[in-house]
Amino acid sequence: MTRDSIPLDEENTAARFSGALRSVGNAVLQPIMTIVFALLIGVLVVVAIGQDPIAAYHAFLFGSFDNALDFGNLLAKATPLITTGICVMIAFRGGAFNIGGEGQMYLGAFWGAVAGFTFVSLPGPLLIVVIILVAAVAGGLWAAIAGILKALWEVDEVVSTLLLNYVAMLLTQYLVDNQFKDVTAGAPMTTYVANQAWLPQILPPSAVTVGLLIALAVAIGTWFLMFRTVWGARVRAVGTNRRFAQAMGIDVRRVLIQTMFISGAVAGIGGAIEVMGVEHRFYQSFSPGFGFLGLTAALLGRLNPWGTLAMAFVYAALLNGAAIMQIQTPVPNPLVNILSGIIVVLMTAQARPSIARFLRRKGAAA
Amino acid sequence: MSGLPQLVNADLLGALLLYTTPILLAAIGCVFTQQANILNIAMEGMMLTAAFFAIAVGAATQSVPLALAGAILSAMLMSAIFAYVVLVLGADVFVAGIGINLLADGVTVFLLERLYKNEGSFTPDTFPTLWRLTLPADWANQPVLGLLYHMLNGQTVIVFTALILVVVSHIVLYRTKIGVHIRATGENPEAVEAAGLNPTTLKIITVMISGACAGLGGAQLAMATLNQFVREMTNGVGFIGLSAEIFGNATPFGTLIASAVFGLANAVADRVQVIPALNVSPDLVLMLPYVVTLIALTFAMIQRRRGRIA
Repeated sequence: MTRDSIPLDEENTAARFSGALRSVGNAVLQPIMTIVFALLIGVLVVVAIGQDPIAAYHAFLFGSFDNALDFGNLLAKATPLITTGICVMIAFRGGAFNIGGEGQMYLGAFWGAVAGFTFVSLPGPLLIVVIILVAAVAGGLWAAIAGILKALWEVDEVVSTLLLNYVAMLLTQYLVDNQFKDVTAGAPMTTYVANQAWLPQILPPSAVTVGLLIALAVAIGTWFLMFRTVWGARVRAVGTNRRFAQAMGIDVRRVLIQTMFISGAVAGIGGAIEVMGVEHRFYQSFSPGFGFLGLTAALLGRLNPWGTLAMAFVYAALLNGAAIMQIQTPVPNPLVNILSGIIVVLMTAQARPSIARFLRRKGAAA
Repeated sequence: MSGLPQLVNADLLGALLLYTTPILLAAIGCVFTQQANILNIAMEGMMLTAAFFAIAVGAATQSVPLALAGAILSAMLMSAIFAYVVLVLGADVFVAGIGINLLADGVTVFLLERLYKNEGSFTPDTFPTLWRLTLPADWANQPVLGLLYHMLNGQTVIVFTALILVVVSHIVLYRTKIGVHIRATGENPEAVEAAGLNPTTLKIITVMISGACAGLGGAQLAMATLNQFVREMTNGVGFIGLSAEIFGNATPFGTLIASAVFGLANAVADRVQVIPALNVSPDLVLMLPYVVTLIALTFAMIQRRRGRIA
């Protein structure tokens, strides 16, 4: 299963190349059009509530780039979206829809935090690596449950990862309410991880930390794994056509379980980064739904690693811009929730045929 | 287990009904969509929208019928968007469903802040009381009537509607022509088409029915006890309903039992917190139905595979 095994048809190379170019064009065009459409609806909403859309959109779209503080906060918001987005991308490429990133992230964050306040004698870099590994294993094993159920008995992974989300969050809530509760804290949370594992800020006073670099490294590592290794080629073969992959001699079940493990591991690492970078301890409901936000980024990025990465930043810019808009203008921040809802609702809609029809009609009229 | 009598008594039955009702309504809605082979991820968002408009319309008009109408119509509007995008524009059902949930969260929080200047919740100063069953107070201390009293007294009209809907949906699905068509749409859309019917129309009907059920469920969540809307107040009830429908194998009566299991877990989890003698974690109680659903689902799939091989 290397790229050499695909026969090269000289005659069709040019056609295939132009086809590939066109599909790249579509892949870039459709998400952008969806975002633009949502932003236009947002203008209508702003006008409907009697506010100035230009002032609101200036803050919304450009506020994040006005100064280092706001830009750093954008980067901080992008960090968890990168990992949860990549988590979705990996599973999807292997033919599974993992919507359990939230739960996998919770378990990664929790067990990462436990490692962080348990192995306090380790030096900083080593402790950070240990925390990340523990979190990866925790998130990975959790996702692997859904992988095993799908591989062995065809249990729908959408349903199982959804159910496992609740189990994971109730599990961490139970643990943080009982055995692992910091009794000196008022709310249910663990004690702090050792000081040497606190990720340093890279653009103070903004919230962005070294965690961003870790997330980027994970994204690049994932790209390499998926697109430059034999294992990745197997995963993608299973994702494209399971029966064909089986005929090629790939152990489809094993690959499926491995894919889910890696997918969950990345989500788990995202949880660990949040723990080490933000609150420096685990507390329940640390995530305002990063799992679903990352899912959005991955889908907008057409489940391509670079697209997912880019869309994590775009999405973070929208989230951050909305917060700035709320401070600078009377338009409420939840406008961005409405816009992201519209974007996700329409994202996979087949708008192109109707647009083509519209253009044709316009051409006929002219 | 010295706290057991404090837990298992007539009041638990009342709490069971209270918690089961919104789950059951969500689940019945999901039964219809599942029969037409649509996994209804959007149920959560439809219910959230309904809960908001129940309170908003009720507070503005001081009218129970209008509050209920606002809840049902707003949820059906969401379901119409969902149906249009998925069934007409051909969007992916999971992605669009997640989108509806995000949209519902956005719209409700935006309006919450815009209309009531509050990011977290809205409690109207005066609100009309939803119709409730009132039983004679002297029943409370009698042997059998007392049980009924604690179970049913003060329950809203939606509770009884939901129970009736279980029977109605069973009849609709298994005893009427449209029910046969809906079930055929899920199992064999080509045959439906060959019979001269439009499977897309039938699917749209099931999504609209699920929207109406979500409307009632959302209204119950908002109006059953506190007459209040809280941000993200559905808190997974739509997904629990979906899980219950899957656990109940997409049949109305199976779903009723499954919903009651989830409702019981919620009722028990709520009460063990105030009975320290029991020493049971509410988190673990709440976790059980999800685990049971997952196991039940797995066994169902194993059975299905065996059937296919044999």
